[in-house]
Amino acid sequence: MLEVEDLRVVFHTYAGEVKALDGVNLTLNRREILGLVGESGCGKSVTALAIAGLLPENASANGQIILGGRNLLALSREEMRQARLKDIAVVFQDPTTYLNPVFQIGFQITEALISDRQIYERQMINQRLQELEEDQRRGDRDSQQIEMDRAKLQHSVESGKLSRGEAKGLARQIALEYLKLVQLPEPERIFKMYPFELSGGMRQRAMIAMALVRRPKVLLADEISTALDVTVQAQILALLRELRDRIDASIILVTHDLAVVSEVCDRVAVMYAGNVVEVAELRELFANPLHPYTQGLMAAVPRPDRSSVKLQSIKGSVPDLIYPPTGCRFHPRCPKAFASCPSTKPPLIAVQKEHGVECLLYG
Amino acid sequence: MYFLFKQNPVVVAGSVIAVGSLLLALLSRFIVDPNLWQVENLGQRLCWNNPAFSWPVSNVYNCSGASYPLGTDSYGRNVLQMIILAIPLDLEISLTIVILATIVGVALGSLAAYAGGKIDELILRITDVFFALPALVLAIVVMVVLGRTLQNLTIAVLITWWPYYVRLIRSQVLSEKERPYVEALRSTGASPLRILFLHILPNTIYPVIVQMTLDIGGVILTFSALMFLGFSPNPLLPELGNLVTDGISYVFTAPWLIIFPGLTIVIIVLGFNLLGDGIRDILDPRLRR
Amino acid sequence: MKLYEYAIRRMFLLVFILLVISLIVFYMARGALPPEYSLAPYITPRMTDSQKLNLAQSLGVATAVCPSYQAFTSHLPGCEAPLWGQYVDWLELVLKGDWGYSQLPGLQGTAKTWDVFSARFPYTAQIAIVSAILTFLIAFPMGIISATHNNKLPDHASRITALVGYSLPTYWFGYMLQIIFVLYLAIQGKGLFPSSGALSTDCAICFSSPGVIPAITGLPLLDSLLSGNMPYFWDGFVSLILPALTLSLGTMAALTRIVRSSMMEALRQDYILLARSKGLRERIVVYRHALRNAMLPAITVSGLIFAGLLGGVVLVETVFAYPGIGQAIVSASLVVDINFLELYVLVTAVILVVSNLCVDMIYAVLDPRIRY
Repeated sequence: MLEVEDLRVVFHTYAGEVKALDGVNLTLNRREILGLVGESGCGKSVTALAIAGLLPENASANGQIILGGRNLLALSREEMRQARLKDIAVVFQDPTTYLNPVFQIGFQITEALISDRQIYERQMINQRLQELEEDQRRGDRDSQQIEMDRAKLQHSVESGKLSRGEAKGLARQIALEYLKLVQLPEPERIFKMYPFELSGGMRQRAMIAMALVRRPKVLLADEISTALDVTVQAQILALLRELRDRIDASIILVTHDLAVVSEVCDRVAVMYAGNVVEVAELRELFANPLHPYTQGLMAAVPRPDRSSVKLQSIKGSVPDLIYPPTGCRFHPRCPKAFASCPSTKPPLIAVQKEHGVECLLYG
Repeated sequence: MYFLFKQNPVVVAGSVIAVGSLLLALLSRFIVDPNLWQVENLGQRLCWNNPAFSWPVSNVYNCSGASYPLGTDSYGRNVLQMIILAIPLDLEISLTIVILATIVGVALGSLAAYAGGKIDELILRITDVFFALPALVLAIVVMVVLGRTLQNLTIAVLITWWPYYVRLIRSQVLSEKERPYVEALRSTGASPLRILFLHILPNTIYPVIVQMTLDIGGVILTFSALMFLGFSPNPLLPELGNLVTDGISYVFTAPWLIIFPGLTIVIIVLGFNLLGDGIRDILDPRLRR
Repeated sequence: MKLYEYAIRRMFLLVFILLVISLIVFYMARGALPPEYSLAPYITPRMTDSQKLNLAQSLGVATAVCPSYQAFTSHLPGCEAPLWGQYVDWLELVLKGDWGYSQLPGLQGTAKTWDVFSARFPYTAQIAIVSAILTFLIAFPMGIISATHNNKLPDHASRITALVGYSLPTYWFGYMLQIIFVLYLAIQGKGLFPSSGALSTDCAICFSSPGVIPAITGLPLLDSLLSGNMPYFWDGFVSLILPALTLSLGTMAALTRIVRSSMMEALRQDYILLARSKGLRERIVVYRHALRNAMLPAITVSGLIFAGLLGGVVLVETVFAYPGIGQAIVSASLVVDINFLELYVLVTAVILVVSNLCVDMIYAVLDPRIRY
């Protein structure tokens, strides 16, 4: 579905050149949830932003991000914008600051559908027809009403283009469907509310609905549970699990919390200082961590059943990305580092099927 | 911070002008005899003999004798000298007003913010009354009643200016008051005055300083406008707005009377505005970058 | 509290403010100045002292027990009527619409204050309205372009212009415009724009058309346009240009700076990133998402802008000899025409407070977080 090859991102700042990403390699398969884990500052958010084409002005990106046969990095601004419109959606971390406070929730959800309605016409109509069929099948609504809605839609299809009013109406219905999908109570009321009138969890759900309504192929979820209470966090993650089955998107879940990863992800990629150091299926990674960093991470998690064991931490601290370590960026902190580590950057080595490591210990 | 200062040409330009004018103000008594403004020299009225520039005006009287780089006014005085005498006067009045307004603003603003309730309401209503009139109109009314002296002029402009500071400081203190560290201080038993003066006010000082710097220019504009309208105690008084008044009747026959004093105002006000803007730029992005 | 309840509450505040202002002005004017001043509009040169005393007593300024006019003018205690009584009398008259007489017409005698005021008010309104329109029309685009092209040429150009415009004394700029357009850009010896008056003195057509302007809107310029009196309109318009430009410069500069900084602030916000991530066109991101939020601080400042316009109009009318109330207030201050002063101050206060109220209501409409 999505291939990231050798992605390098540099930020040009007053303090110096920050080499944030140093050759990131990722693969995202269809309908899977890929977790992107790492400490703060390891570049996971930067990776997500790079994929979406939302890097700030002072960043330069090199490498390949291949989606649908095209390298996203080679696209023009307008083409990238279209890609964001149709194929890529992002859900951000803090629902308080990422929602525009002066517009209603419903408006913000349907905005993209209406303003480029030519693009969404066919999709909206088909979507709506599908939903009507489902409703009929599940007996959710009065079948007479369903027939009326369907007839109205056919009329729109025949008459050619959608008028703005019709588009608004369609978009609204679709938005309400998705608000229901993310399990928000009373979607009609919420549609007309403003962000400040909702709680944090509800806002986050609304943001998820906002992203899904465009039926993206790739969904980037950047620390979506971090700003929430633990209980709400659990709800959102459960929601994500459910949604994955109902929608046809592939998700990259960026987080620093291994627990979150273990709840929802199919595969996991561990990042450190701008590199993907290990990638494996969920169970495999937890059962058999190969990279010393991953092993350190696993060991650092306190477990109630091993309370007598001393907490282990990884010695040292996260490197300065303006002057990063040479060779393998982890070598100053690595307990298993040896002679060639400071000089050679390890390539991605496939130790087993679906389990890759960037470490010289294995090749 | 010095590096940021040097890097920002706006601040450099502004401070050069501002400091320059302050220096000029301090040294003016050594450059020009401070009593010169009372000396009329009617034989040399309205003349211009600076060869560098000629006016498209017919019948420009050519001064005989001494050189007048900026011409003479209707009393025969050297315009350049008058301007040099006027700068310290303007700056002195302006600084007085700004500092006093800040003091009153701090006192009432923090009182309003800290005491809350009825006192806050009362102070706000009082500022509402002052905000209902444009500054110039209010100052005119005060001047009408009080009479034309320099002191009254200062009082008039001060009266129109302090409400802004009260509002500014009140809102600053209000937002600081809610910060966690204030609650922490309160729980250790520190007295409100101590919290206010040692902790809250120092943290709110930056926007106030920016505003003060910008206002030095604004106050000069206001009271020179008052003088221009005719509220100066003495038509001979060497004040920049007053000097412009002298030239009203001679707009098209002796334009230098209006142009140069006004230009001086522009330069000084511009200098302080640049300085204020620059300070704001230095202080603000420092928190962001 | 609903929006209209808030508005009503503010109107009560307005009445309170008006009463306080009128009280203060009255006390300051009548109390701080010799009592003879309030008689000035009514005294003719031939009045005897006893006639003047009778006048003073009938006006309620002197008490009935006052022995003579000399005693009155030398402030014999008991001779001057108590100020509070005078204020109440004055208030009664005012509420009935009687603002007394003003000495402003000068040598032509006195006239009712209200007439003097209302004859001049439309001209001030013209300048103020045109300047306000100019201010908003130019400041918003300049500020937005400045913010979206941050640190590039348009930004620097507009910042410098705004900063310089902010630093110019209004009256000086007015004269500079006159000097430039009359001395330097003259055509056939006549200046490009008239330098004074609401009409140029040789606009013969204007004065010859009988019954000149029907009072449709009350604004002479607009009325002449609406009634098709083009010569008058053109002449008046041309005379309006320089004063309006002068007046709007300062407010334009201030507003541009505010629009620029609030746009930049808005564009930095997280929701802009979200809007971009939705694939919205950049134009929509800027003009819908950013501008909507940036307008809020700009609207807040509008109240101050109107105050600046009303204050500056005094200067502009003086410089350009434009026959509005601003020019009148200067002469009124010099002769201490109390009636005119009071009327002027109160009308200005009403205008400002009402416009501040409107600004606040607009703000409440735009910002859903504020609901009273």
